[in-house]
Amino acid sequence: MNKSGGSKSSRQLGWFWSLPGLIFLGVFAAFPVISMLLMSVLTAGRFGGVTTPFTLDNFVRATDQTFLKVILTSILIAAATAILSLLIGFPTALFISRLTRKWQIILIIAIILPYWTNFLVRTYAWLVLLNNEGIINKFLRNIGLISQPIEMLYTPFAVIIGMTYLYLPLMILPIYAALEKVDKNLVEASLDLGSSAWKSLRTVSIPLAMPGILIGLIFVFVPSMGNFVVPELLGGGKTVMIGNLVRDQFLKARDWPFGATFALVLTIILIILISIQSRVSRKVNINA
Amino acid sequence: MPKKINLSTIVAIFALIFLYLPITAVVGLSFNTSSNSLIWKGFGFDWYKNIWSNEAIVQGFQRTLFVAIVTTILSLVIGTTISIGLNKMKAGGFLRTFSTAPAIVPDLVLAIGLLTTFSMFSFNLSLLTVIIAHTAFCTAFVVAVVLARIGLIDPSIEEASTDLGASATKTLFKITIPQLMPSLTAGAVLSFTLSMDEFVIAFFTNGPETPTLPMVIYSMIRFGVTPEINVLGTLLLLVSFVGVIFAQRIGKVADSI
Amino acid sequence: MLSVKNLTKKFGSVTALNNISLEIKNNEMFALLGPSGCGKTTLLRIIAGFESPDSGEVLINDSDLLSIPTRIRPVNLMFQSYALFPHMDVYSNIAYGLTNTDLSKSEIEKQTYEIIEKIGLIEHVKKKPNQLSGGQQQRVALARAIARKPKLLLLDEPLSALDKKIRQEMQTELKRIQHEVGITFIIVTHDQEEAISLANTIAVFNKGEIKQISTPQELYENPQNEFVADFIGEGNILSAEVTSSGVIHPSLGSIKNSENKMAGNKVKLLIRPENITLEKNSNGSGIIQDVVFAGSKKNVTVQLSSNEIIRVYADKALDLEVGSKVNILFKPEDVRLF
Repeated sequence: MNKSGGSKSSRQLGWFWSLPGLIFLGVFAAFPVISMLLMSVLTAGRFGGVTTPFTLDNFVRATDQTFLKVILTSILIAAATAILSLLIGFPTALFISRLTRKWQIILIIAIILPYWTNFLVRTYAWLVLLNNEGIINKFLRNIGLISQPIEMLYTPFAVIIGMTYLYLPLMILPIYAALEKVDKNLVEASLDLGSSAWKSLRTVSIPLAMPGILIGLIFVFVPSMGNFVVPELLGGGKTVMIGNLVRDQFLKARDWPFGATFALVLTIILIILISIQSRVSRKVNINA
Repeated sequence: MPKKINLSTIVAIFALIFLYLPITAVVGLSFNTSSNSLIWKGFGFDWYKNIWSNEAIVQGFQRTLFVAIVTTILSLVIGTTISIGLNKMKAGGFLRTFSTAPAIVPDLVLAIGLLTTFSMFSFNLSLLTVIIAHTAFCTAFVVAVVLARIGLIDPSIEEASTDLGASATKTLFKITIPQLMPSLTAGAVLSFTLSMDEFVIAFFTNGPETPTLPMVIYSMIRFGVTPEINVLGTLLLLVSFVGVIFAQRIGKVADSI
Repeated sequence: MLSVKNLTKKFGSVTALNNISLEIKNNEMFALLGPSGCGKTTLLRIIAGFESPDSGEVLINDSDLLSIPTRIRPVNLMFQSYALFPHMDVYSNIAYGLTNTDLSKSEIEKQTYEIIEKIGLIEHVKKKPNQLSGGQQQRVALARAIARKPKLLLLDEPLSALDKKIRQEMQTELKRIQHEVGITFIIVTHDQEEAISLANTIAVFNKGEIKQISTPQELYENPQNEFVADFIGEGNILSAEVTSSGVIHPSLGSIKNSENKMAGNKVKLLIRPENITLEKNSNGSGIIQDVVFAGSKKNVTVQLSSNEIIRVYADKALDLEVGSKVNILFKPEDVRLF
């Protein structure tokens, strides 16, 4: 007996069960986020907070050179992080998908394990490694490759490495899941019809796994853009990203509307990426 | 399948080294008896002993544990009731997206949103606001996990229970919840772990007097490499390690039921 | 013991039940038969208490059933998917209904073990449903449904999930249990063979309406309309016209106007494959299309000059060649008109 929406009584029961929880989420998640984002069209109050009039000044100010530079830096660094994660993550996911079931589980756990540790500790670990007196520099000096320590910390390079390290598992897992879903028969058919392994990969596996690849990209790109801890700890404050900007506006400058503007930019980017992903996903699922 | 050494194998090995090198370094340095972590003095558990007398760390840990436990209980209850409800009404995409959105929205956006809302209503920031914030965040994950499974349960089973004379409460506790056990366990572990490790939301919604452990770690890191952080990091790693293995075991046991 | 009066149920724009009425006697094995979507399952669920009708009454032993809450009704349902509780063993599944009564723990144990012995699953009491075969699961589902000694037992497609061989065993089981416990059974099925072999009385449904209620034999020999004729058993349905001189079929000739249909109308006639005899005749009105050996008989497909195709059960000794012409012979009393 399949009726979409359920019978009237089960729908009523459904509301009875879910309404309290939904109200909770509405009050403590939906309202806060939406009201904050809406502040971008208001003016900053004199002692913090917001007042009318409604204005678009914040958006105009955001296009100022200094701020545009921040947005651009964020996009570039997040993109670099995403691409690096993809370059490392895709072959890794591919490798795992070709193992026997037992080894797949072992490797997936091995990939997830670092992810379950505190991200501050994981970021801190790079402080240890990249430090001028740190392990990598010491090692390179010991083997005589360099005489002076390489300045790796407090550079955009460090930020990118740090963030790739944090989010790499989030790139590997969706790609692995997508590759697993690709009907192995399709790959075999492709090989049977004369395509090389590389061509089969390029023309069959990758397009069909595309929704997973896009999810991986989103999972890495968006948190990277909003991250303020890594740019601060590993970038030394020299690399300013949207996350740092938002934090400073809300906590230091107390200019809520202006901070909200950048939070809005971040959210809009997320929404755009998600809609691209779901469109591609729908196309792949229709054709597959 | 024959294991050939090709490009993907090499990259995969590199990936694993990449993932484990940093934390191995931290673990290794935690046994350094020197107070300057970067200069190796000797192997010892000195700093492991010292860490327990660090007030800030111990209290931070206690607060974080407290927040995590309360958050887990609240988000399990709220998340499960939402899932049961959405499943009964065969809810469409909007309600499902609404309920899982807090997990997808950047944590910074959620954190700032809560900060402004609490401020607007003159709600003082404290561990209570952190608990509220974490609960909202973790509930979304619980819904994601439970809702997925609840849709797979044969609806006739609850009808059968009613047909055989059970009240709605009895059906819930004797029939529905046992069916959901694997997801509830996964949701609980997920919630707990997310809350224990969570920094960004706590940072913006906590009062100044009661920092959580991640917040304590953050302030410590800003001063650079120290032995305490190495030890703390190693301990947290150990906890996560045990947690993941534990969750895996539960998963296996639950699957076989 | 059960009276359904003028029951109507709509789902949106779809009318699942259109003013249905029927009477079921005590201790009957009653079947609701029809194709999927015909409303039979809806009726079952209304009686069980999982749906409410838009209008109409259901009386059990002359008192209103619909006002009784589902969990208290003296009615139990055996689900098509069995709906056994996967996390409980056989004992707990069967005892479940009894734990919702005032019976003492020892009494519950006693009654449950009685039933388990009756269905022959004593060695399996501690097993979980996924450790049982399909037939065993079904017996547990049945036992669980009769544990509370309901006045009325509803069975939703009880045999559809079983292999053919087990199906026949279960048919006998069901009849035996019904006799032993003396409960009225209502069975819902889309399989007319199942209905005919199990039930005393069958209500044939189509598109929310009852087409005929009768014994299996009546339904088979005297279908009241084309739908029942087509649905029950094998039959050939042909088109004919009523003229002033009687009912005329282009290939079969004149047929007795047993229903006194009015001239000028078109009618359908039913004649069963076993009631037709074929005779080789080079001037015959039928051409043999296909002959299939079927053990005790031959299934012959014949094309009539009217271009209609009929099926005939022919004597297996008869020599029939594909392409040869035959005469179609039958007794007038074996024809039904609608």
